[in-house]
Order: sequence, then structure tokens, then C-alpha cells
Amino acid sequence: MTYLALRNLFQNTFRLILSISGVASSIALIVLLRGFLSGIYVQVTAYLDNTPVDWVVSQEGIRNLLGGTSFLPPSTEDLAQGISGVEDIIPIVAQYAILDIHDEKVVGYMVGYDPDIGGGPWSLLAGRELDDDDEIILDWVMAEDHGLKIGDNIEILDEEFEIVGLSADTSSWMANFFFIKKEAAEQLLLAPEATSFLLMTAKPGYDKASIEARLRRRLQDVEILPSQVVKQNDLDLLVNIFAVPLKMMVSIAFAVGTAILGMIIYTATVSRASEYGVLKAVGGKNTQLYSLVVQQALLISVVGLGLGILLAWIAGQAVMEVYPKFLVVLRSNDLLPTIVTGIGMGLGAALLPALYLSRLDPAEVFRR
Amino acid sequence: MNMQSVVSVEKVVRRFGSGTTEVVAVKDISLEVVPGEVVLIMGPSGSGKTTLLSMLGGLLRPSEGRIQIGEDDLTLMDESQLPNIRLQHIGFIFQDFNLLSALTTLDNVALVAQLTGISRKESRKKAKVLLEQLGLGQRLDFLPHKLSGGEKQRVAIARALVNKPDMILADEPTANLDSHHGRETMRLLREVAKQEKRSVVIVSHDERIKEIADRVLWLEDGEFKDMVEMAVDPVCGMSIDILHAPATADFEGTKYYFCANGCRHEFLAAPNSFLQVDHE
Ligand SMILES: Nc1ncnc2c1ncn2[C@@H]1O[C@H](COP(=O)(O)OP(=O)(O)O)[C@@H](O)[C@H]1O
Ligand SMILES: [Mg+2]
Repeated sequence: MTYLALRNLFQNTFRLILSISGVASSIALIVLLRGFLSGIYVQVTAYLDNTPVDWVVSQEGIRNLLGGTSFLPPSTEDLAQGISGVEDIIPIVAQYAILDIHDEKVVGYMVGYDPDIGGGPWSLLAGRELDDDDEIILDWVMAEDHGLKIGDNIEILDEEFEIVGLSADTSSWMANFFFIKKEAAEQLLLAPEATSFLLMTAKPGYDKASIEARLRRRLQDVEILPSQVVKQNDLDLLVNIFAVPLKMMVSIAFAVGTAILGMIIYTATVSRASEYGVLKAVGGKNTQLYSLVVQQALLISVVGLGLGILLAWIAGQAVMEVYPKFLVVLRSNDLLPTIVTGIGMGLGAALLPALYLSRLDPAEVFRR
Repeated sequence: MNMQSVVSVEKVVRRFGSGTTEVVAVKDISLEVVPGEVVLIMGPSGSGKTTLLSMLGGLLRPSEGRIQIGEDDLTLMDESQLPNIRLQHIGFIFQDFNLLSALTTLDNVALVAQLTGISRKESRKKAKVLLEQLGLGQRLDFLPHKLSGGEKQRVAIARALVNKPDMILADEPTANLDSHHGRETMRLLREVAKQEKRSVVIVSHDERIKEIADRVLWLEDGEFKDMVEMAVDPVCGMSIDILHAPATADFEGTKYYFCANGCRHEFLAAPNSFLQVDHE
């Protein structure tokens, strides 16, 4: 019976195109919104994802990286040395700071690090690593937004810095990253020898749980958190603001897409009422008629699905081209839920027409 | 029930509505049709022909009485069993042909075979044989809108026959055909039905297909009445009860009957223009 479903669809190409476009645009919108949300996820955890770290050690009560300010007790770094199973200890000074760019105050997330140890930018788009205390590596989107290039100077808290590098994958909707040397950051904050976080990694082959237990014994009055936990805390803090409205928009797009497809299939079904009546009269069963409308709805939704994903990909590329700050990530993990969404649309849209067919009285074929 | 009847109708009544708006469309009708028999049920508009036919076809339940098709008592059946009875035992032919507009001639017929569960390939093969037999071998890939009325009705006949039903039911099958094609199509229906001993019940008020029927019944006010002798008004085509004809005229030794004086005047002004139609 699939050929009847197909022929019915192709008999009215305008309606077919209209319904496919309806599904495609709502799928595109859904994919794009999800991609935008995934992008925010990627941006929020970018630093911890790209820096080798198993545990984040922070001030007692501070359980975020991007949430607030942390200052560790001065002795922490020394105490942390020599714990069995710990490979690297990266001390960083990190917090939000205000930059003076062309008389404009811009908020950035400052990371003070030691280039010899690590914790700096993981991908340089241009320029080089830091050598001196008066040098800075700036996120490239922030640089572009403010017309800055390598060799330009900017001020942070009345100190002059020269841009020597531009980092990639360090921008986000709330603040872009910039990197200076740790000593420079200490000076800016008027806190010599200060450290905000210690980023620690485990030696391969060591049991992480026992390393963590040793850490806890050695380091008192600080937080020792697996980097996963810190990332999740940052996500909870910063993404939920977006997640709720975005998910709502996704639901609305789904409902609108289903309604459009449903209405088109419903009118198509009603306009063929006499033909379906004939099928019923000559002995077609309700299930056979349902399968006809379901097949029509699914064919439309599957084609619309493919087209919508393509459309979302193109639109995502275009958005990122024009607004580099926005990251649209189309993950293959999202593919299955998207396919389920599209098929759900088709099935949902077939519901009302199927109900209509079940009520159709075959005796009506003899009356007009 | 007569052991060899295909269909047996016993004291069937059908009412619509209730109370003061109740209409008794069919009153206490009994009927037996034997295999291979062609029965024509005639009667004026509103006499209950379609209602009776719908009940024979398992599309409508009687208010009272019994309808048996072969061994199966339709009146005892569950709603969900009726589609199968219609599919396996009954072929339908409609006034408007009612072909599926998106399907070719071949697929229109094959689809109904496919409803029984056989493969598309097999159903197309069956359909093709039947369509060729009905002279439509050159029209297999045509969509309905490319077919003439007579061709459409022949496709409908093929569709009605494809599942080898015991009985074919046709409601006003010639109403949308000119008299020549109407008669030819009905002759063809009679021929193919007789070949395989399928019974045919045709409901119509078309006088001109009387000749193909083995038996003609007259339905009026929901009851079978004695057959009145009928003639066709040569001007408007209406059936006229010759005993009560409103107007008559003699022309070249033949008596003609008219529905009203208007038709009679028109006829007398140019008799040959009305008589030629039937003389092909
Ligand atoms: N579904 C229905 N509901 C109410 N009245 C009906 C219905 N079907 C038929 N009737 C009535 O039953 C009578 C017989 O109708 P019908 O069987 O269509 O006659 P015919 O086919 O001979 O013209 C008419 O008075 C008609 O109005
Ligand atoms: Mg009728």
C-alpha cells in the first residue's frame, strides 16, 4: 500500500512541498536551538576540558571555577608537593577582571598561569606564548570585536599589556578568556604569592580514589573536587539560565511542526474522504487505512527531517561566521533524539486523520 | 434459506431517525438471489433502493430481519467482521465510478486484490488479466481522469470482480453514462458475471438496462410492488408508468410517453432528433 501513499502525496505537489517545508523548518529550528545549547555547554567547560586536570583544589566553600573568586591558603601548594600518585600540580590565579579597551570597560575571565608549568591557552590562532609579565594573550573573538591585533596595548587595572597572542576556543556568551603570567596576575590583584586554584593530575596507573584520599588527608580546609564535579557545577550555574527557555522553544517548535504537518495531512485526508470511503466499503480495514495516513505522514517527516538537519547545519555555519561568539555544535549524539523527534512529529500528525478515518462511514459512498 | 441462494433477505426493515422524524426506508422486504442471476431493482427516487443495496453489501445494518450471504448471517456479525465479508464475497460498483484518482487503471484494480493480503506483484497480475478481458489492455497505465466514463465504469467492474465475489452490487451504474455506453457496460457486466456464476444485483431507474436482467423488481415506498409497465420519455429520459402517463403521442405507428406536456411538444417539433440517439 506504500505506493498508494506515495501516489497520494505526489498528486498534490504543492501540498507536499508545503508540508515538507513545515517539518524541515521546525526540525531546523530544533536542531539549531539544541546546537546552540550544546555550544554553550562546550564553552562553559572549555577550560577544564582542554587543560589536563583530574582534581581542582579551591578555597573552602568555592565549588566552581567560573562562579566566584577563590584564594587558597598560602601553604597549600607546598603541602601538595610530594603526594604519591600526583603527577602535575598547576597553580593558577583566575577570576573575572575588567579590561580597559579604547576607553571601554570589558569583562573578561583572567587566567594567570606559569607558561613553564601549564594552565594557559590550549590553542593559539596567532602569535606566541607569554615571555614577560607585561604580555597578554587575548581571545581572538574579543580582539576582533574591539579591533585589536597582535602588538597592540591594552590596560588592565591601570597596568599596560602588549598583545602577543590570540587564543582560539576561549570565547563564550558571558566572558571571553585572556591569559597573563601568574606573577602579573598576583600583582594586579595586589596579592603576591596568591593562588586561586591548583589543578592536579594523577599519574597513570594509580588508583584515583586513593590519591584523592591522600589529598584529603594532606590538605585541610580546602575543597578537593574532581574536575567533572566542577564542570557540572559551572554548567548548573551558567547554563540553566539558557537551558530552560531553550528547551521550551524546542518544545514549541516541535508542537508547531507537528500541528502544521497534522493540519496538512488532515485536510489532505478529508479532501480524499470519498476515496477512503470507497476503500472501506470494498473491504479495507481501519488498520489498512491508518497505515496509509501514517505512511504519508512518516514519508513527509523523514524527508523534512533530512532537509531540516541540512538547513540547521547551513544556518549554524552562517551564524558562527557572522557572530563568532556563538558556538553552534551539532553533535552526532543529538542525531538519534532528532530522528526520534521527526518521527514523533509524523506519528503525532497522523493521529487526527486516523481518528477521522476510523469514524468514516463506508455506507456514505452510496450517498453524495 | 434456499440452499443454493447466494443471498437471502428475510423480512428486512430499515428505519432512519425516530419519533416524529422517523423514516421507514425499507419495509418488510424478502428476496432470494441464486448464483449467476442478474436482478434489477427499479423504483422511483427515494423508494429505498440504495438503503436495500447497502444492507445487502454489509454496509448498513437492518433494523429488523435477517440477511444471509452464503453461509454467513450478516445480521449476527460483529462490526469488525464485516470488512472481510465485503472484501471476499461482494463486489461494489458505484454511480460515480469512485476510482482512486492517484492510481492507474491497473493499480486501482490491483489495490483491492492486495487488500486481501496477497503480494503487489500477484495482485497486479490478476488485475491485468481481468482488465484485458474487459478490453482495457491499452489503458493499464492511465490515470482515471484520462479515461472516458465507459472506461472508468469498466475499471470499476474489474475492481468489483477481482476478488471473485459471490455477488456484485451496483447502485445506479449507468447514471453517468450515455445510453449506448450504459447498455454496453451492463451487457459486459452480465457476460463476465454469468461466465463465473456470480450473482448481480443492480439498482437503477434506468429503463434501458432491463434487457440484461433475468428478473426485474419494482420497489416503491420501501416495498416490492407489482411491476408496472414502464416507458422512457424520449425527451428527458425519465421512467414513465404507461398507465398514468401525463402525456402521450403517436409517431410513425409507435406510441410515446412523456412526463409532461412540455416534453411532448418538444418531441413533436422534431421527433427524429430524439429518436436517433437510440438508433446507433
Ligand atoms: N442515512 C439516512 N438517514 C436518514 N434518512 C435516510 C438515510 N438514508 C436514506 N434515508 C431515507 O430513506 C429513504 C430511501 O432512501 P434511498 O434508499 O436513498 O432511496 P433511493 O436510493 O431509492 O433513491 C429516503 O426517504 C431517504 O431520505
Ligand atoms: Mg439511491
